[in-house]
Amino acid sequence: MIVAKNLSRQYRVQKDALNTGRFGFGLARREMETVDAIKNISFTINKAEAVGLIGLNGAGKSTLLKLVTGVLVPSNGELTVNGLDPSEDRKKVARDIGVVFGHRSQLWWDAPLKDSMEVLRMIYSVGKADYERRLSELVELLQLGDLILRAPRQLSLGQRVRGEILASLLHSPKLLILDEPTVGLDIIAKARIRTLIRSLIDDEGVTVILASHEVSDIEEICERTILIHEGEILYEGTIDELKSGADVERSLVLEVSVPAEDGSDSVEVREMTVPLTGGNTAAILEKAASSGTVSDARVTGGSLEAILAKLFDKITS
Amino acid sequence: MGKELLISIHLQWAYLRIGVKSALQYRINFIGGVMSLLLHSLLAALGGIVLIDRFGGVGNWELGQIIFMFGITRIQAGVIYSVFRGIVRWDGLVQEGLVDRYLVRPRGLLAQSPGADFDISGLGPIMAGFGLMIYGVTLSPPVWTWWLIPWIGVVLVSGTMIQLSLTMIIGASAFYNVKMGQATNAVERTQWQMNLFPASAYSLVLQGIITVGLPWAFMAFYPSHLIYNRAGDGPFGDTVLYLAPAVGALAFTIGYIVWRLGTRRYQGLGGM
Repeated sequence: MIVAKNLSRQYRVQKDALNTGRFGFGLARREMETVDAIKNISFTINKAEAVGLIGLNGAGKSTLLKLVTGVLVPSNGELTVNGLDPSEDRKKVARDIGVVFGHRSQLWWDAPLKDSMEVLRMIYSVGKADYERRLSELVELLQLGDLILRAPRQLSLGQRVRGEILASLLHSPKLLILDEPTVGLDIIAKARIRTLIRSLIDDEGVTVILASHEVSDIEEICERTILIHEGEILYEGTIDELKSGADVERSLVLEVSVPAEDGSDSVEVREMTVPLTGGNTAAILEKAASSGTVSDARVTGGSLEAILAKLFDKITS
Repeated sequence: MGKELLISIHLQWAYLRIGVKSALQYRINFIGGVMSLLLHSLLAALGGIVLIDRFGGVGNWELGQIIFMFGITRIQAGVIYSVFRGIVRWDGLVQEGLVDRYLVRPRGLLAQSPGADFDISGLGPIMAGFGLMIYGVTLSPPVWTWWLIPWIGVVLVSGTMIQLSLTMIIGASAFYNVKMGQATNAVERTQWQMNLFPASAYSLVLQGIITVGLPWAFMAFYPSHLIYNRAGDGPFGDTVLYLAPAVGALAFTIGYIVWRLGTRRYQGLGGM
């Protein structure tokens, strides 16, 4: 589906944009430098796979998405999307791509959602009958109902994001690119969007690339993740492998009901936090069970977010 | 190419409908926007009329004929302001990242951008332009023949293409310099001022510039010679009087080429 081989992308940027120089001559003579946004990276994303793109701000995630969509031309290397070079065949590639930019709407703010869909139907050359069928399917799937007749300015943020997803799926794309789709959403709306994206992958076989700072989005939607830092791939693999290989302290927190110390019949609940080291879990549980009744047990510190925070902190410092 | 053009025209029509519908959500603002540009055009014309009326005409042209020509350029300006608003405001769209939004779709930038930012206020200059043309022919009636109305239509389209090409060239330079709004304003205002009076009122050098360099004289002045049966009148011969459609097509082609170069540079350079 997507194959990148030794892909690189450089930018020419002004070295010191605020330097006006002596007597303002610096304004006329700009010093430029070349910055590597993507450095010689290779990866493959298969059909119906969901891949999370994780990286700090400025890591190169947006540049990579722009390369995949053909918005930018690679400086070096090869990139194919559905067997086509996106920079050479941008329009053909775009027919099979849907894009949701969390910060950039493709809807007309003051016109009903349905009107925006009509314009997009023309842009993607979707036949009238196919359009009507697809629209009604998606409106049901996204639980938009009569909201399709309202303008985005009359919708809540969560409803608007569903409208954006509707717009990006109208032409039945094979690849869906999501850039911060759940930014600013409440937990209910987030959960709904995640379920929806997952169902698109499972039911329609859509390939998804999800770039998000919301690590929980990636954890719940994607099987695989690509970690980017300063234009290079730090890690590529499953989230489970990333978690199991991470050097992060995890603790077992137990709530144990024990007889009260005053000798009465009452019980008191004590919380025990025990660091988890290789293979000591069974021993800890055995010991806790012998001292009372274990009413609750949870592991803390091993979340993907904690692993990534530690990893990026280590790299940047 | 033909199919693409047809889809593009359809798309502009869809933009226009959605733009009008959006504008009508705010009726007072809608009326205010149209009225302000209508009055702006009429007041500019009024200033010119007062001035010209003192002399009975300028550059061998009567007041009515001058008003008629100014009316033509107002309609052209109004069409560019509303229908091609996306190109007029191109630097803003580049900065807001909307160009990326267009590039992830299976259409060219020029097919998507002109009417995407449709502004109904352009209806003001269009209404003022028609009013001025009617007033102009009332004061100085041309000799009506069968080809006059089609010719006026051709003049309106070709003049729009001329001004549009300059807007496109400036718009495309936003790919190099990002902020170009002031340059767009400067060109628009200069064209406005220059077209307020007939080209024959200016020096020969200036006439040369607006004939060969920035071909504003083809927007209304030269083609109006045929409307008012004034062949043999100008310093550059009679051929120029018929050239408005060709100049419009040529200017648009140049504008399109520059636009394409700018787009390629954007895709080559990325973040501006």
